[in-house]
Amino acid sequence: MPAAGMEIAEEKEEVKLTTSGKIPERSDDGDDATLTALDATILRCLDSVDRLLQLRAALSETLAQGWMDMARARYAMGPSRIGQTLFSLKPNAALISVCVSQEHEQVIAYEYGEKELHCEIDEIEKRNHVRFKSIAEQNRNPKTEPMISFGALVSPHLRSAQSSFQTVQLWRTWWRWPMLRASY
Amino acid sequence: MAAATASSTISQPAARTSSLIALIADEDTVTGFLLAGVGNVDLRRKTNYLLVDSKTPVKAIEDAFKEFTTRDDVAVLLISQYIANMVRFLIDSYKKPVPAILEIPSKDHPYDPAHDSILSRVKHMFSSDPSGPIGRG
Repeated sequence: MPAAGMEIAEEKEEVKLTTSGKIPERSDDGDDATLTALDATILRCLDSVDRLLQLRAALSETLAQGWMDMARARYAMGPSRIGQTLFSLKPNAALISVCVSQEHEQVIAYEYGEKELHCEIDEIEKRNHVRFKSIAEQNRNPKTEPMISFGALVSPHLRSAQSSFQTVQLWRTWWRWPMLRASY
Repeated sequence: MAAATASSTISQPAARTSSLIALIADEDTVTGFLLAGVGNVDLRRKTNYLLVDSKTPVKAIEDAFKEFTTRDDVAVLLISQYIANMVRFLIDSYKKPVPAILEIPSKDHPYDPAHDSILSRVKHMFSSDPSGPIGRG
């Protein structure tokens, strides 16, 4: 199940901009062109809302699976083995990062991943004044594995829960999702 | 976590260095996302998450929300919807594109579309024009 959480964030941005209430300026062709553009805007907004609801359903399903696996793991390992008391407060960097591309204060795309993103900037993007940031590669170190906080031997249900929560966020594609570039 | 940038030669619009995912949720949700590798602790032992339970005051949630939305290293803020309802006035008044606020369901409180800020805006938009498109016959 692809990055439902990140897709929802992008869909929310797209719906925000389409519901900004901006109406196209009246053209010399009269009201028809304006109304046509307005209808297109509304259709696009409704498509985005529909996509948003689909992603939310997928997100809820994945999260529910993760909570269920965590409950099973807590039953197998004991309630004291899984909880906030085991959270490590030692300085450590997050293993998951987000690369945000912005143009004129508008978010262009979210890129999420664990490895370095080789952001290819072609000529078109240069003309659009897009600025990209790549994320340094995070080599998976067994010492930084989050699971280690809960002990060396953990229930397979806990690993399954980890997989579910990773699935919520994980974005395996490398191409950029173009965000809504202009308001109407 | 190093970050390399490549900018246009024509102009360089300001862009925030956002990289982390912040989290305000209940214990199970925070535990799950920490397992996924979201957790970050800096040298001052400041975390990118807030665990909310029945004893957590609303003021603490407000302070955490304000902190995460003003940090330069946060790109996305995940917040449980039932917690978001406690600070709805803050979320409704939040207008910045980064960090993005994403309301997620919690174990004990399923997602309620009636409280979603985006869907509420869409509903209001369509309900404010009951007569349909202007000028159409």
